[in-house]
Amino acid sequence: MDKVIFSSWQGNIVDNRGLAPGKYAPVNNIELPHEYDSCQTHAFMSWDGFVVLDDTVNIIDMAQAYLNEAQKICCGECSAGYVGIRLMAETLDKILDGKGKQEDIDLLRCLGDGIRENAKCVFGRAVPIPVLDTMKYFQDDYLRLIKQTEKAVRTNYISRITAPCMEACPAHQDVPDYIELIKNYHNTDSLALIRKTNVLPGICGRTCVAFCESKCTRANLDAPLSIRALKRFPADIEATSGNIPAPAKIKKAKQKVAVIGAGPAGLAAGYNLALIGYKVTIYDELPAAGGTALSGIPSYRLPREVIEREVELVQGMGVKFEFNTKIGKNLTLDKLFSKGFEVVFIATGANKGTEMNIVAKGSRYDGLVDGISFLYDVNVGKGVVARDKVMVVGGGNVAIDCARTCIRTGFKDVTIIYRRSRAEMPARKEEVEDAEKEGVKINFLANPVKVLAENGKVTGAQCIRMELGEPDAGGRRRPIPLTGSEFIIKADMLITATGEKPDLSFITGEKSVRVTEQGTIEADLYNGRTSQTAIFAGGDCVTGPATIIEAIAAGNKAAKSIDQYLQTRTFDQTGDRLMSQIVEKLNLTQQRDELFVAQNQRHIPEQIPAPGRTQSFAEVEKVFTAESAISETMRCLRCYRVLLLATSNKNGH
Amino acid sequence: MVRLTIDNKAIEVTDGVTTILKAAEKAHISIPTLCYHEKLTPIGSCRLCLVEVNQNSKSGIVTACNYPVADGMVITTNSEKVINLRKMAVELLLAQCPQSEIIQQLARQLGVKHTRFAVKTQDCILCQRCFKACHEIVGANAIEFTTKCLNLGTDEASIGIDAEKCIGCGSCTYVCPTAAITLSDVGDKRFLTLTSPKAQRIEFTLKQCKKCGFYWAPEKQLAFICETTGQPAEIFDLCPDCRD
Repeated sequence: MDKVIFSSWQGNIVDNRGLAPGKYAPVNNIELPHEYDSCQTHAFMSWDGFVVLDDTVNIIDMAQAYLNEAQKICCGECSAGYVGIRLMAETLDKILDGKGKQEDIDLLRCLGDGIRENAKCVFGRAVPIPVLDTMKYFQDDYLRLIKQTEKAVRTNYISRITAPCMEACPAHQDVPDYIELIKNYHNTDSLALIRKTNVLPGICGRTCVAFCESKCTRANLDAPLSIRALKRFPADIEATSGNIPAPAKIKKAKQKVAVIGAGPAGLAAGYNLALIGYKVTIYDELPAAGGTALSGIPSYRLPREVIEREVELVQGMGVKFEFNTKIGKNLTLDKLFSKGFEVVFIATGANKGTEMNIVAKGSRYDGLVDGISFLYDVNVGKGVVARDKVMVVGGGNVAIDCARTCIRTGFKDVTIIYRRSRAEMPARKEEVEDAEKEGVKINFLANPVKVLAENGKVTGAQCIRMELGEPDAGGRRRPIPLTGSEFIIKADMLITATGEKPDLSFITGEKSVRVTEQGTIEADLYNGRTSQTAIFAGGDCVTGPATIIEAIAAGNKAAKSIDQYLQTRTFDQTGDRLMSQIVEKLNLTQQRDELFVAQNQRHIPEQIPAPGRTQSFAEVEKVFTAESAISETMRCLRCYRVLLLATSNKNGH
Repeated sequence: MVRLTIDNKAIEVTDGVTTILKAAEKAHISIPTLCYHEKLTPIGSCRLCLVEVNQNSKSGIVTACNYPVADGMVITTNSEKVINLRKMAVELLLAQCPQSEIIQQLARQLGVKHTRFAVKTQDCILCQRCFKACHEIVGANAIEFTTKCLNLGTDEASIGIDAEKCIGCGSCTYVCPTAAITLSDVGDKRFLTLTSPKAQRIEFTLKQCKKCGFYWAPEKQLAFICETTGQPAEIFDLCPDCRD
């Protein structure tokens, strides 16, 4: 980036002080906007250095503010971090108050060096780095402060405390601290902390795709932490203890909010709005809450009582549920507003299976079903009768869920047919392996082109071999049919699990919202706002089929901005958005000081062995034993990062 | 068998020796420790046992008490860098607990006469030995170690005792290096006192020996032992001295 006065980011020093602006050397390892909306940025400080964009900032004041933020997460596990960082902050405070002496500077450097080498966690060791940089490269500023006796002017900064795992999680859960709480036997507190950003820990502890684990610092050293399994641990302890958690404190707000859809997004929004005091009613077409978690995820992965328990918690907050109610039929969007709801949050998911181009449009066959409907029938509907041979089309989690469900319902021969190869499968790797252990066969690089049927009953499909060509827009290699490679697979049933889309047929009337070309609701991913002021939307109906945790995050965000809207009629999130834009471009696991950490094997929870488990829908994965859970928590490197940004309003505030 | 070098001395240790600290002990190389206790899982909170390690052509500062040994590891326990870092670590401990004899003694050994930092006088240095002893050895799980947690609003780390769970066994006072937790028996009462971070005083009734009349152990502790071992309560009617 250009127009930078000074940067020490990652230890690469770019010093343009005293140069004419035209002669400035560029900074290539970090990207910061000079302006954002009404904000003007002046400087940035974080774990691996600092960047100065103009001369309005007192860098020593910024370093002090940075240490104050860092102190908030100095846990107390080691004296270097807990005491040392406090002493650094106090010493800088003294210098800024005009009471500093030369020896304070020496002391500060000594402290900084000591903490950098000897703090217990990654966070602690990184804290002194930008401060030591200011001491090295802005020495004159320190000397000036030492000489003066009056207090320096102090400023406020925008800050964010994050970590690679936290930032990777759509709901930004405070992973290092909830792990730390488990480590110190504070399971109830750990769960309370998780619920601040994730109201469904039991569900996510079993089914989350765990974006956090893919960004874990340890992934580059040995193996990422088992964060998902760790989350389940305190949730299961609470469940088996039979204790119902004390309802969180409810604040005072009175307005009525309607939520359409009792899936993860709706539940998250409902819970968080109820916490602030709003009167929430959640409508759902199903006879129970859970949304896709209920109708789409089989119980061997997610037992029904786990869903029921977490829904009870939401109910306990005073949220009302109206089941068997499909909006658009008897109750329309317009009617909800006339019933006195001031805001509607749409969280209807994406639960319509997409049709494959293998039958004449609109024609129906006995034995041809889409994956979503199949899972719905097994999980909440009329059930299914097993046949001999089934072919499941697709490579995603829905396809795997269908195949493993078929095995459990008694189908004798279960084959997945997928048009790409194993490497391109969007399903979780562990799930694919589990399916294979249970006897599911996978036919890679093949795709059905035509359903074969007799008397309206499926007998198989004509298929074609594929090869992989150039990567498509999504980065996966595009499958290309091999001419002349047609072959026939016999099957009594064909389940197509090749994608889902939202059912938006209820969006009609005066209060309708804009819909995208992809058939999703057009909404701001940051706050859930739609084209209608009082209608918000989030989850799969906005993003298309995604994950439970993304839906929860959307529900959390919507609750926050619905509250902001109802209280102030504004949506100002400039600082937060600006920070997000900056963080997005940073590699949070990278740092100039090389990590020196002993290898330590990842613990994974036990499973019921494969041959026996296919006889029932009993949960396959077990919860961590206390011993494995605690050992696993010890692997956390605690890579918190503090980010500090100096900004001002362009209009001169 | 693991082969490693400590302070230029080639050492072979058996598989039972798992940490650098234990390997150094075998080689009669002394490394200062404070939070380490041989009966407890290593904690690594005091940072005094730090050493420099070279392994797979990388090097770093680690705590000897909990860093695992590996073949080919080269360890330095006495370089200038290590000594200076240790001095800083002990200065930080002194800044918390300047009156502690053990910390003063460690400081003297490391050539530190006083701390340059503003002193915050308290007894507890959050070494966690009491916490580990209560959970790992006693099993009463009465001592709580609470770390700072921003999003739960916990703005201070602390050691606390759950009076309901505490059985008054005194294991915590035995392992506490700075006398932050102390114990005193007065007549038929035992008092367990925690001075910092938060002051706490818990009272226990002591059981009297039916033979000699000595108040010999907290009733709660004896009940706990009966409960965990399934022994009948009567076996504690007599004190150990009068029992045989």
